[in-house]
Amino acid sequence: MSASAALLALALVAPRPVALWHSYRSEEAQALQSLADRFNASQDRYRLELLSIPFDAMSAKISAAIPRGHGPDLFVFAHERVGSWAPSGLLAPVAVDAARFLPGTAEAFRWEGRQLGAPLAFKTLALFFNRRLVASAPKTTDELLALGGRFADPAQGRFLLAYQSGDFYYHAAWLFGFGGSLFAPEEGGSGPRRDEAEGRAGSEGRLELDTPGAEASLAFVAKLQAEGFVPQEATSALVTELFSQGKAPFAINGPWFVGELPKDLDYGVAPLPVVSATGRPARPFLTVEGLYLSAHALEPEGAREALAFLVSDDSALLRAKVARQLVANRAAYDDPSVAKDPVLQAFRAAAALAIPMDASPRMQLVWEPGQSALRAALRGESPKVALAGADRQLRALQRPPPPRAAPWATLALVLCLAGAGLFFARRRPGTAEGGSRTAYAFVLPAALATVALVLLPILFSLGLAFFHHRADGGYDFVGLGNFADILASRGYAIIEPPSFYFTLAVTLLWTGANLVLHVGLGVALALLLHAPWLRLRGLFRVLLVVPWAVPNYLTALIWKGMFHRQYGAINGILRRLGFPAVSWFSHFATSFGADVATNVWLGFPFMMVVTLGALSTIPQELHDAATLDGATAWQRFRHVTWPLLRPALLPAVILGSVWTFNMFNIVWLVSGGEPGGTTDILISEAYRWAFARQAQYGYAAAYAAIIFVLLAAYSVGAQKLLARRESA
Amino acid sequence: MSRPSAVRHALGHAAVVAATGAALYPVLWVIKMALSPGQAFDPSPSPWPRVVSLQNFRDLWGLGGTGHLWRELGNSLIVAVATALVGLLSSATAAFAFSRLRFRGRQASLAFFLATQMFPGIMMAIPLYILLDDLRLLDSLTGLVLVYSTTSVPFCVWSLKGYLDTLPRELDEAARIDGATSWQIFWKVILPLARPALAVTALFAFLSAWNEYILAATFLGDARKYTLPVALQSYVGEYHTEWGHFAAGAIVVSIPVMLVFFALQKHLVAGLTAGGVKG
Amino acid sequence: MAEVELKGIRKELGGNAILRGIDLAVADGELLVLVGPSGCGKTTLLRLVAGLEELSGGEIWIGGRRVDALPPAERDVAMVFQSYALYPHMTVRENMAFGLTLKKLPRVEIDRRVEETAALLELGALLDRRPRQLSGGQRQRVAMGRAIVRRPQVFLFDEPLSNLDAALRHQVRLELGKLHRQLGSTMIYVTHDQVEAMTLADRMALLRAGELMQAGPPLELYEQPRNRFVGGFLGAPPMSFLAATARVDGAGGGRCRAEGRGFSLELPGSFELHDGREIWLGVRPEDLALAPVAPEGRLLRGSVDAVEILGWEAHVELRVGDGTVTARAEAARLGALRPGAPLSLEVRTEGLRIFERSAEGGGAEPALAAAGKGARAHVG
Repeated sequence: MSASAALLALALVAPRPVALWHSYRSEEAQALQSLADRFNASQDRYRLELLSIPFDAMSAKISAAIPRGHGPDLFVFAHERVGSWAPSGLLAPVAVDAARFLPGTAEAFRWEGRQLGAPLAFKTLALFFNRRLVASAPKTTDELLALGGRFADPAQGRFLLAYQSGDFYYHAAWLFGFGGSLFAPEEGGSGPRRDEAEGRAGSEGRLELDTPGAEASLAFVAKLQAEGFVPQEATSALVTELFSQGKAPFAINGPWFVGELPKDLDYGVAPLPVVSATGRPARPFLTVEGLYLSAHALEPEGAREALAFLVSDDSALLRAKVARQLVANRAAYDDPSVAKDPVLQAFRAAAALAIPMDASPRMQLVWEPGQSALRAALRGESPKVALAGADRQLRALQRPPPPRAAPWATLALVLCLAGAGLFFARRRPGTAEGGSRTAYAFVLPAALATVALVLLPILFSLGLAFFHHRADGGYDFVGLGNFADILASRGYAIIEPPSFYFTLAVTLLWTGANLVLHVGLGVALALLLHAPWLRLRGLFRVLLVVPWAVPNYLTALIWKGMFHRQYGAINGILRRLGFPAVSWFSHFATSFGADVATNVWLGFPFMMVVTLGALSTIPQELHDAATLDGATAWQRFRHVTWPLLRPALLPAVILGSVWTFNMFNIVWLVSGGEPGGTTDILISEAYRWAFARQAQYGYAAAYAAIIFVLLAAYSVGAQKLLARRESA
Repeated sequence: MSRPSAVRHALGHAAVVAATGAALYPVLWVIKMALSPGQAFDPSPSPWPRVVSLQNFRDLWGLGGTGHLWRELGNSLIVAVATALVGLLSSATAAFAFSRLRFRGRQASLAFFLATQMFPGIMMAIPLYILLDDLRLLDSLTGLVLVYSTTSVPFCVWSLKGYLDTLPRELDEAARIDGATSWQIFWKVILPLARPALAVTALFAFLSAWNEYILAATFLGDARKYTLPVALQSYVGEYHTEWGHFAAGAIVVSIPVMLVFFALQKHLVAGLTAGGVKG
Repeated sequence: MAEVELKGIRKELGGNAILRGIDLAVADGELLVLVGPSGCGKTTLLRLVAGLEELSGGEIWIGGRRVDALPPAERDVAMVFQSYALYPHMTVRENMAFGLTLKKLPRVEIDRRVEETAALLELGALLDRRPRQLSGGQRQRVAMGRAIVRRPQVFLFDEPLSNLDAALRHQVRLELGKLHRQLGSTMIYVTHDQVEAMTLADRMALLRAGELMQAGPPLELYEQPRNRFVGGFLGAPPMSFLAATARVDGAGGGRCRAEGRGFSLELPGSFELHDGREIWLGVRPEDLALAPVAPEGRLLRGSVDAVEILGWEAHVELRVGDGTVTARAEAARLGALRPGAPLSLEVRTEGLRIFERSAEGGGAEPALAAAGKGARAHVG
């Protein structure tokens, strides 16, 4: 009696958990944790529990978990997703006093009149300068360029300005500075463009990249690169390297750059310079990180309380002090310690000029064409042509969804196909012996698990191919419309890079090249590793598996680094051998080759291990017999080893080709489709439609379905081959 | 040993050494980043670290990381070993049936297993999430093991079947006449002879679970269940990646794989079936 | 020990008839050899008895028990495979003990039986080796040992000697015969080698294209072939065939002659032939002798096609009309006989076999009548 009363009391007293998901790292994570500890100590009704989730997985996890009731009460994410998440009902409104925050930061979370998030911090770009090389930051681009002659010497690896010139996020600052914009006014509209007038890349008007300002900005950066003022193919790593080694006096980067610079580096930060040609400042994007309240929160009251605590001025001050976070609260900047921090103050000034990124899903469409126009201009194409291409791509991406269709026609067609399939399946001569209960028992565990956990998700996804995913999260039935759009190559000429047919050809080439090299290398190495005379066999075997063992996210990026035009190890070797350096990602053949080289490196150990397994079935006597018959090593391989190897190797070859066909992350990480999307494979398109272009799951699923059909046809052929071997 | 074969053996050794060099060359950067202080992705052409420090490794176990490296390593080992076992057992029986027994639907099921590999995996995360939720297996290592082992089963089945097809059928027949049931043939005759293929397949299943993080990060909502790759991927941020920590973590992740392979490769020996059948 | 009865055995595979109704009985303790050219279905028949294949029709009885629906293990048979099919991962002892272990026999009993069998086959020293450490002959003996140790009702042998070299084959063949006499058990033995068949068999059954041609003691098949195929299959070199037409002189019990292109032979005994009947004349090599002079009606004249000298003995191919006959002769007596030279042979007409000659016979035309029996002397 008393025990249960105590339990009840405990239950009443025990603080109720409020879950918060975030992707913060190091100091920012520590600041958040100490705030959570303070919040938990400050009251006893709720306990704020933090869960760190890799950034890669955050957005998908939010979309999956919240509607199923497994989501957090609160989560941290940038404001750009408001327009995607709000219509699907993932977010609940929160109360925010906008006046307490820097202009634009609270407003970034407003969507259709509702406040759907509270700002924590912002990110934007500023100009970093090395005080040991220059006394102050230039105010205009002319001033900046005037210093070029003094500092830039590309042959010595010295530059004027280090920044990721090939990244559209960075370039946007120049674009706006040169008077360009992303959104054209509606027909008949005149006067200043909306985004500039309001200091915000508004969601009205249509997307348009081909503007005089954009053209001027592209010409400007092309000139920067041509004169050797900025490094080519700059990655964030290279920017850090150049700036911290004093090989570039200036860098354009965000607040995260501070953490990457050596502690002893004497540098200053200033807003980006004014573009001399227009007299306007270069205006970078502003992204605001905020706290969202889940619409399906289990503890909405506690969540609101925690949210208020975390965005309070006191909390902001702690975040600014501990993590040097660019907090959104005005008050924090008046604190003496923050006021003394030149970096924070400089970014605060930069934020005033920055253009909040458009939060509508449409914004996601800008990156791909913007990026490809930028890269094309940097490769030396005319900016005008590059922009015209970008706009065409933009139009293709924005193509209206296929019209809604009556389900009956499609349903009838699918039923007919299924019926025909069944008919032909039945007509095939069945096995004479019929069913065997034992056989089914043996197959059952694998089959059952595969049906439940593989087939069902596949059917679910295939079903999506007949729908159009609306912005509000709903689905319209469009019949075969998605397929028609893809197969008719809507928006592109048939032989143009992003068209289905061009991509298919590249995919086939990719699969074939990889397969030949994987099998060739794998088998050759396995034969060597199998040889009885090889010393240290166990050691070599293990060392050769290393490429398979190390997480390929890292090694793929290392390969990309090795193919860098100026700093890559491959060009280093070429130069030492007396060959000219190659701009690997500027031409299709070399870019494709870089992808293949990386994937072959990653994939040969698999084939090698499979071959080693298969080799162990071949009795040594056979080899001895062949040797006695006077067969050469090649003849022995061709006539003894290979025929015996083939049955065990064939499944790996078939599956290996299937995987390679869908091996999207290597292409994504290494060439990224460069130049101009030519090295993309089919699966990249599916991925882009699903995750990078307004969540068009319908198109993505249609691509997946087409890939499925292609591979099924391929494997039917391969299986015929197998069956013939079996009966032989 | 004759003269020409001595030359051939020297060439063979040279080829293996060259291949090993090429295989390890990019890995030098991983080691360099792990051993260099700081978090930069060092793009310089030299694969040697300028300053050597073990700070990144210390951080993995300390405040720089999640602070629970041992737990994450343990979770990963549980998941990967369980995946290898579940995947291997269920696919070995299936492969045996496909290779040795004739039954209605045999060709169709084989094709089905193959077909499941043709659907791009990235499209499956959300439906799988819903399924696991309905099975009440979100947030559990069991759910992960289930997903990983089923996604690796098709390859395991096909690869094992391909291998079992090369084992002489007379062995089964002899065992049947000796009075063995299908299960006894599988367990006492075929499995012991399939050791190399089992080793290869086990390695495959182990690795498919060991390095995966997207599904794990999507399904797990409890930091105590996190696997090592999830923790590792946390070092990759939207704007900034802690490459030093990531590289050190990548090395920590790779070492068990190499140990596992070192243990398994002993089974990749020739002549297991020698002498059983003549001709 | 048991008898085996096969009743109307049929086997079809993918629409092809492999066996077309075989009726055959093997008596208790008998060694039956199934012989025939490759593809005749003899191995399939053996596997059906073993239970490794399913019947398409018919019945199999072993020891008075119908077994065709039973799995192999319950038929109480043991089989020695052509490839031996030893378990490579088990020692000789484990290989032999495997079946007994599965039957859950007591350990002591298993050991006793294995030792006993090993002694019988002189495998005692090899018990702890693995198959790959054995020679071909030793592996073959282990395979037999694995069968013997189980003391089955019926032994099945599938060409067990075909992987051995010639000298070893001869030796093991003798051992096998001895073993059969020692064990006295029922055995079915498949081979394509007629020497093995003739020497080992108590009875042999000759198959062709899924049909039983003839079954009986080896000599019966040799001397009284039921059809032209049986005649042509047995014997080395085999029986030669000449196309001929029967001629009967006068009415009722007159003398009978066979006339073909370039010969006219008198037929002995009373053949039930009418004048003008088309026949095949079967001549065994041992019934032909070199004879410069012989009575007309026992003489074959022709030209030499080929001469094969095998040592003491030689085979002569003689072209007679549009046919060929093979004779066996003492090499020394042939002198310098060259292809193309004319040669005469005397026919021991008592040895002649006569078969029907018709378009639809397909090589297995039935014998018309048995010629007189009697001691055969080599005339060569």
